[in-house]
Amino acid sequence: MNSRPSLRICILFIGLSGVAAAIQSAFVERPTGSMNFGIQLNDVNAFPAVVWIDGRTDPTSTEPHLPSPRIPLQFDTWDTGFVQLIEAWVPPTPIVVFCEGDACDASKSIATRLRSELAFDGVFWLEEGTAAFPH
Amino acid sequence: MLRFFLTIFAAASLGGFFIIAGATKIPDVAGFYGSILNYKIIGAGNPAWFIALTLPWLELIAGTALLFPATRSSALALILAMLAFFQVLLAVTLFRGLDIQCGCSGGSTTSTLGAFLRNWLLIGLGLMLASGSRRSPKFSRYRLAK
Repeated sequence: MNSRPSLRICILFIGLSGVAAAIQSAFVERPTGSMNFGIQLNDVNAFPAVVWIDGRTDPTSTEPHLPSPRIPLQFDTWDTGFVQLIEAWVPPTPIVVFCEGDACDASKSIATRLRSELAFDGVFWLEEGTAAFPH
Repeated sequence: MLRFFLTIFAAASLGGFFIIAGATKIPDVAGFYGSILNYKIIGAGNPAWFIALTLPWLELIAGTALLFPATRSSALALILAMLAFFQVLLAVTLFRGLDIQCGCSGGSTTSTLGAFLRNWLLIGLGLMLASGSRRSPKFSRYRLAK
């Protein structure tokens, strides 16, 4: 085994990664305006209908002030939650994702992925998260 | 002989981790892009998108190269550099008190603290591998002599 790292090989690996990424970029599109699709509860209430996505780490915890029905969707159980969403969602009903409190970021990641997978601009993340809902 | 198996174990574990980390992120670039933005170090735009596209491929290539003796030392240098960078990033994130998922592998819900602690284990494996690779010529001579 060659025991000393070769700068040439390292550069080759980085170059190969760049080429692969360049090829991939031809087939995927950057989510537009990511993170700029936060929405406040007052604006959500103005929608005639909305699909709520529960992006909390523990969606089984029942809190009566949270909206219902809501679809649990996390990255580690994405397929299950995504199927539920597809069954419940009637386009072009807006989709709003919330997570714990106002410091969590899961809602933004989930909304970004949903925008990409559904190719739908009506997916938002709820500003302030669960703290936005009145008790 | 023990050192030989430890080297194989370390290379397979570390390489396997990076292969999985890269391979799970490549089909979900949008999700990884969101994870990068969650760190609130760079904003939405081309730089973050460039990282989201390139880093998973680099992880996959370096992880695979680690499995082959001919490219192992170079791959290891890249992997240790990436791990050092990730640790700085995670330490800053912990210091800032951001409650985010690390985004280390597609769909992973590993917390920032969990990833920070796990990476020390990976760095340990990497250092063990580096130590083994420095001694391997001696080992090869030993094997030839036998």
